[in-house]
Amino acid sequence: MGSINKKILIVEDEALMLRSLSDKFREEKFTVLEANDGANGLDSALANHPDIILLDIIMPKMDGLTVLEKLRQDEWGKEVPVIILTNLSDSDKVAEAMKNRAYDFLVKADWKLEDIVRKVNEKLAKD
Amino acid sequence: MNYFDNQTAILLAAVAALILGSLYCWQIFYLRDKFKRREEEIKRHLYELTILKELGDRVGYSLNIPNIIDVICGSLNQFIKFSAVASLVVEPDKIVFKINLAEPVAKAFVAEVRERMRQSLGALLNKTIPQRQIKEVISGAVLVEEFKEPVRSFFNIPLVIGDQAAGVLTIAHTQAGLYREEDMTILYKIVQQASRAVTRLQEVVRAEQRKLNAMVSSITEGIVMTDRDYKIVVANPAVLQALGLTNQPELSLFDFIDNLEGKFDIRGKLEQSIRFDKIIPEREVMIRDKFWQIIVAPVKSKNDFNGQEVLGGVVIFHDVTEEKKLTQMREDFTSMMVHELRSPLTGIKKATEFMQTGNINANPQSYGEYVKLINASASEMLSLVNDLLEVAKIEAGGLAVKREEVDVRQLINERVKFYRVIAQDANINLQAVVDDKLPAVVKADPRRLAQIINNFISNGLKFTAAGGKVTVQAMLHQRRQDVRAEGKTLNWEWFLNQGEQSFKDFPAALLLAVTDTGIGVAEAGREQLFNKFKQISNIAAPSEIKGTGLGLSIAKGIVEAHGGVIGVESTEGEGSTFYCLIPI
Repeated sequence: MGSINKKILIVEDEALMLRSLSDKFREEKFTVLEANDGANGLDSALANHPDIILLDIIMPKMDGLTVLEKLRQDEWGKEVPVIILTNLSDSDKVAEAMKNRAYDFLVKADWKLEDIVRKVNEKLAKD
Repeated sequence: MNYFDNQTAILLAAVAALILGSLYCWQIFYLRDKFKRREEEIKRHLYELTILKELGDRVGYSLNIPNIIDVICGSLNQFIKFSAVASLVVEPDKIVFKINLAEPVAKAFVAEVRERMRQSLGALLNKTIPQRQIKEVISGAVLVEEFKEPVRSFFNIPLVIGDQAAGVLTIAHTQAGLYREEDMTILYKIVQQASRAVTRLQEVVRAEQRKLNAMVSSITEGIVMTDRDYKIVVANPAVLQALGLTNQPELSLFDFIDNLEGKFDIRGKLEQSIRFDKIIPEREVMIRDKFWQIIVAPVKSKNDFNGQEVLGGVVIFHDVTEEKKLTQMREDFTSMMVHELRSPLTGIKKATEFMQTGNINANPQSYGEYVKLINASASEMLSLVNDLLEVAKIEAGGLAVKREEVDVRQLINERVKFYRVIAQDANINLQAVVDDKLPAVVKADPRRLAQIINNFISNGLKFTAAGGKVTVQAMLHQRRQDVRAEGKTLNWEWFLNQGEQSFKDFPAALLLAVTDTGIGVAEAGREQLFNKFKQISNIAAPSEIKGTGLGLSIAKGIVEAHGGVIGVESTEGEGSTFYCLIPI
């Protein structure tokens, strides 16, 4: 797989979701960075420059949309691929995220872990 | 002597006869004259009755004064001779001079009648009436300049409605000395009768109008009514308030158009409503920071002979801001609850998915961690569901309080011990201070009391930064004592001194408080804090701390079930004191 040594940042406040995603990507030989709220996520992104970011929307301290907006203002951050993790009810927020050039969005309940991995690999293969 | 006597007697008899005869004659003449006059009187009386009846029939329950005068003028020729009958009537925007000619007269004749009437109406109204205000209507015979006959007989009858002179009625003739007092009296009576009827009717209408006006002014809905020419007929205080028109002395539709700021086409909607005779509802128009439901409807009179007549239109402004807010809060609350429940559920789903497909079974430590996390998520959801049930119970008024003897000191110590680990992790100093005067035991529901303390402490810890302090405080509050002074005696640091509440009238109570050095609560949000729909801001723009906010509304329910009060005092940026008083 081309994902060896690829760095992924997962920003998610739900502990189990974060843990499952992290473990899954570790299994897939990713270098995984974790953040459990938006503020930490933004700091980690700007400090570690991951190859791709998985970003939850509703989070404490700073929500996903603000994180995305701030990322896009950064010289490095304006190009980093971001996949939004979302719940069904956030459709209007998804639209807002797409304006800020989120690469894709995944409804958490609909997607299996493998699907998420596939989506990430697809994006990384394109670049 | 005899002869003379005889002669004298004859003469005397003749004179007597003559006198008697003439007396008799005179008597006959006198009686005939009397009868004749009586007859005339009866005739006049009959006429009076006829004309009054006719007037009554033709005028009906009309308040239309020009119309009533036309009816009177039209029937005068039945009993009185005139060259012209004229009326000068005050109408809202003009004065109308109407003259009906029974025979040809000169222009000068009309002008003279008109001028005399103008003078007498002016005298009645105690003001000069400018010529140009008078609108002239001439009907009947033609004007012939050759007839140079002036006005020789003339009389005026004033028309007074209520206390207000409404006009003058005039009869004029080119012949002199024509009108006797009786004629004038009849006409006077007729006019008086008519004006009395109108006055009474007007009073009834006015009383109804007053009722209606009072009702319209006290209605909280904004109401504005226009006539068919879009002139404002009614605008109640509510609508003026809503559109910021309270200081406008005279209103036109343009004022409304201006102040509606293009948000609502009042002119167009009125036109549409009147023209198509339909009610036009408009949902949720935002005007001047408020949401309005606006209804436009035609106003119709049903008394008219030819079915319905459209009098104008009415626009009703119904303020739906609060309803909208409440709906919004409910929706936000629901979506927050959905998020709070779905989040851990999707987490569990993803975790079990990973456990099924991954190599987790090879790693017993990781396996154990997953089980622990799943358990924590399940507990979190369970406690949320419990909270929701608790709130539902409180709302239904079914929160049961089992009062028994509670050792408050012990209870507080247990709770503080429970939270100490979390406090230490967050580097927050958690302490408890209890007033010595507090009895060893008080009567309360121990489980519920613990719930309140839990909620206060966990909130305090949540909203206080590292290095801060959270203090649990308990005292005995005495009736007639100022709670702020009581706190001072105990040397307590808290935010109740900042408040206005003294609780002097509150009976002896257990006062429980938790004071933190956290971010504080803005004054505007304090009351809302105990509402189950609060923390809306968290969903709209997730802030520092997440939470459902159900805890405080549950605490409020518990305190109130104990007959107590709950509250918060705070200084923004310095901290807050959440407190409750439970009567003991």
